[in-house]
Amino acid sequence: MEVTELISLITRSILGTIVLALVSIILGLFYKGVDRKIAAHMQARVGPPIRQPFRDVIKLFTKENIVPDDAIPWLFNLSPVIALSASIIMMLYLPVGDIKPMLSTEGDLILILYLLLIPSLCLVIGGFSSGSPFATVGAQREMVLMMSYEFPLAIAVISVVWRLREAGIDVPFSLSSIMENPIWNNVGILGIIGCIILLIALVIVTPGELSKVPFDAPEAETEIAGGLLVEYSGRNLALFYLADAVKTLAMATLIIAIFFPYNLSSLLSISGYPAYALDFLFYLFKLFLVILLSVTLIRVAVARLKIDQLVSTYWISVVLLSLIGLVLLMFDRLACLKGWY
Amino acid sequence: MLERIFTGSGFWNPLIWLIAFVVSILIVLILRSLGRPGFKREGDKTKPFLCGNIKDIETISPRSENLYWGFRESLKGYYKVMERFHSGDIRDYIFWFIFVIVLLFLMEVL
Amino acid sequence: MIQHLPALIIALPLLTAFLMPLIGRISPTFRKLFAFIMIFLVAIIGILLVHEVHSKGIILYTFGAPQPGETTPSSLKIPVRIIFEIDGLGAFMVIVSIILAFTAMFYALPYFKEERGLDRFYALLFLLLAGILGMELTGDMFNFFVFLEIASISASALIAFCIDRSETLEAGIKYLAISSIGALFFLLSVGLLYGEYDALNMAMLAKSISNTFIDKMALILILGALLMKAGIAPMHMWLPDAYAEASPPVTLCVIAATQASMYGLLRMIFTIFHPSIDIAFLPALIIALSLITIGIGATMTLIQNRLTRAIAFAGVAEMGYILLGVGTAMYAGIKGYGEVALEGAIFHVLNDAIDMGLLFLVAGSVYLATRELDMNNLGGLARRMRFTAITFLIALLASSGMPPMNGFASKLLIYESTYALNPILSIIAILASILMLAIFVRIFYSVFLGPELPNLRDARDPPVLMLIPMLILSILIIFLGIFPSYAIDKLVDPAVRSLIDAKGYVSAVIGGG
Repeated sequence: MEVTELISLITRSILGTIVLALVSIILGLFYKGVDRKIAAHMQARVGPPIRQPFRDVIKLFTKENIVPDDAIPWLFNLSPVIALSASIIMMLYLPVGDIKPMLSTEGDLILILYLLLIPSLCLVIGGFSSGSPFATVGAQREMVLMMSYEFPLAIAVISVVWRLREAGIDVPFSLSSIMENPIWNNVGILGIIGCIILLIALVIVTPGELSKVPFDAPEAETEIAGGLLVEYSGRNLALFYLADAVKTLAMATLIIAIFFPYNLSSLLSISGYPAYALDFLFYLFKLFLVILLSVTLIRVAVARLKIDQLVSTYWISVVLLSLIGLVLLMFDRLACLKGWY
Repeated sequence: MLERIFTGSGFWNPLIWLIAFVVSILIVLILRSLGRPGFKREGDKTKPFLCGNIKDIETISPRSENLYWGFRESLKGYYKVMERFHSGDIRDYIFWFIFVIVLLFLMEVL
Repeated sequence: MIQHLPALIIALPLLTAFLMPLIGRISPTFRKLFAFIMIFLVAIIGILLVHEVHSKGIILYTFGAPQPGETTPSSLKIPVRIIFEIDGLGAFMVIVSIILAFTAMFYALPYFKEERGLDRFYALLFLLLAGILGMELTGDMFNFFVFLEIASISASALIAFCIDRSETLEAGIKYLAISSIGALFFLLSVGLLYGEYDALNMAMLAKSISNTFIDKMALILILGALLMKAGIAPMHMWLPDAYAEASPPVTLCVIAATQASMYGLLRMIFTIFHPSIDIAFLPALIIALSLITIGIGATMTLIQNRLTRAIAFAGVAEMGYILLGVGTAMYAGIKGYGEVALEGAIFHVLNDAIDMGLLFLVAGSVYLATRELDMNNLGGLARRMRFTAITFLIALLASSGMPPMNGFASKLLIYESTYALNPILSIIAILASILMLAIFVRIFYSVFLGPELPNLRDARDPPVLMLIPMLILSILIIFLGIFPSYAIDKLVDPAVRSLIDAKGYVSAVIGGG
């Protein structure tokens, strides 16, 4: 690798991380507030103001950071730090609006899949090292949840990438290629139905990924007294809260990057800096829609599932759904090859 | 040595990822230091949150065989079949070996 | 001296093995010193050999010829002597075996403080090493069988070494029975080939093999035997028994033997049989078996309660990953995504060996500190055994394939090549990866986290001499994780190229293809 490219990459990774850390924390907390406000209105109450999560975080930072006697201190304190760091790093590899990911040539979709695991893994290890039986039960439920939703998530992502490869796209795992070649442009009618099914499967995976109702058995406040976060307080809890907010942002950006990479600026033929601003606003709007559909609506509409119902929901129902989507995509490729369109 | 891996369908550059991760951890640590560091040890603050009059926490902590109950419960049928296969009897092991060789043979001949 | 390196690397362990009882009579300390010096020498010879292969190409060594490089001396028309033929793949496997054996020996020296019969132990360990290295270097089919037997018999005796539990003896006998039957089927196949072509040399056979019925039978028998020795389902059941009951240093060497069987598979399929024989269903069957192996390995671990048995089932799943890459390369040919798959599989051999090795060493430290391997009776060890807990965390992340450890790099290669064949393959591989993460986190909690148990209050980190091999493996994991392209360029690429170039293998011995 040439020196100039290396230096450009290093500056991008350092400055980009700092900028994205600020942007994603602010945006993440903002959307958390929006989510709470809309959920409140759906439940016929007024709800907290949109800047409430900011106040929550500041309040948490002023509380005491209690480390229980029975906990393993170094793991207990390290887990929130790693969780938030990994969530921030994810944004470096995801496209925002029309801008390619900051480090688009250094990491691809498989890296994103694994980085999505790290915050949940840190929650699990933090819960396990809390020294409380409630935390242990919550943490192992979170791990079971991770095992369950990974199957349909992998099916959805790999099917789309495979179909892109069969359509002749180079380097299909890289997010810049996915962004430039929307899946809807490269498939026929069967493929469109398949992609819609995969999108539905991803929308069902998202609340599981973020531990929201109906898949929040790990943090069941009413059953296990707060689950894996029961012994966390003060700045550690604030970091986990922030990690959750940024992870919501990242997951929504992933869905947008794979399924809705369209931009207004190409439609209206604007270019230059106004185009960036317009695309960013459109991206914020798309984020709003995705978070509304996958987190807020589902959260308010249904009740919590039991842990073994959760496993069978994902492993049987959602997997079947995504497999149907995959099969439709395979038929679509066959149809394209035989020239039925 | 500083190259990225290019697998024909994707990339991975661990060095740049590591730099970004270290920077990210530093930012988070700076953020964390804005919070309140210690706590005053008074009362039962640092005892685990339990209900009831429990003397030994070891007796009520989940053991390793209780973990992942939900997962094992949902796949109960599969596990019953699998445990029967892993019987520990060496005659079964030899059976499976001969089975695979016969399977290969039959698939070849037919 | 450089010329004779291939012979030295086999002769030195054999000599050590036979001298060990004599040296042991002098004093136990002198025996340990002797063992350590010898393994160090073997490691150096191995590194020199690999360097030779990378700079000079395929190295030949004919036993008994006036000049080691001559394959047909004294006007013989065909090579009849035992010839060692070392190419990129052989060099790679030598490195894997030496890493495992060196760490195992280093760990074993302070591990067995009070046992009796240690001179037999060290002798058998060096015999096992000689067998494994012989399997990886030889260019002669019957010689491969001989070294396979040497490795199997020494390994089964080593597995049964600690006779205070009866399960250990049972595991040793099972390993012996399984290996003998597998090796006998292999011998049958070698006999078939010899009867047909009058040649035992691998290069000669590669040149002469054609698409006849007997050759296909020979391939089937060899595949069956080697797949079983490599621990592929549904013949994998000996693997958890053997790995779980053996002492950790022995398990590392048995892992090396399993990887050597996988090497044998690669050699037989790609160099000897592949260009000529055409069995259409074979790649599909191998891919199917690998998926079953991954599935069984990843799911069966969840119900194990014994520490070493849980890690062993995870090892079964890892062998499935390697076979998945091999199967994809067989199906697609070694070009395009097939080549990437083979790269991933071979790199994963190295990564899997190091990760599993570190996991078993940690299990050994836990056993040494607490004399307990049942996870229901362990807990809370991270407070007192901090170093062990951190190394287990590193091995956990590496085995599940989390960035930036080495497991991620090789699994990335496997995912991004098998998806092109069929997306289901990649999906099952990713799913198994998350199951492995769940498994190891559960083990981590049961052993290290949780409340402190009263009967384990005097558990301590193992002595420094045992921490050093764990440190070496952890540093290797992190190094290979941060600089994977270095390892791929220097080690894996020569191996893959030597498999692509099957004709080169033949022409090195016979000259002129």
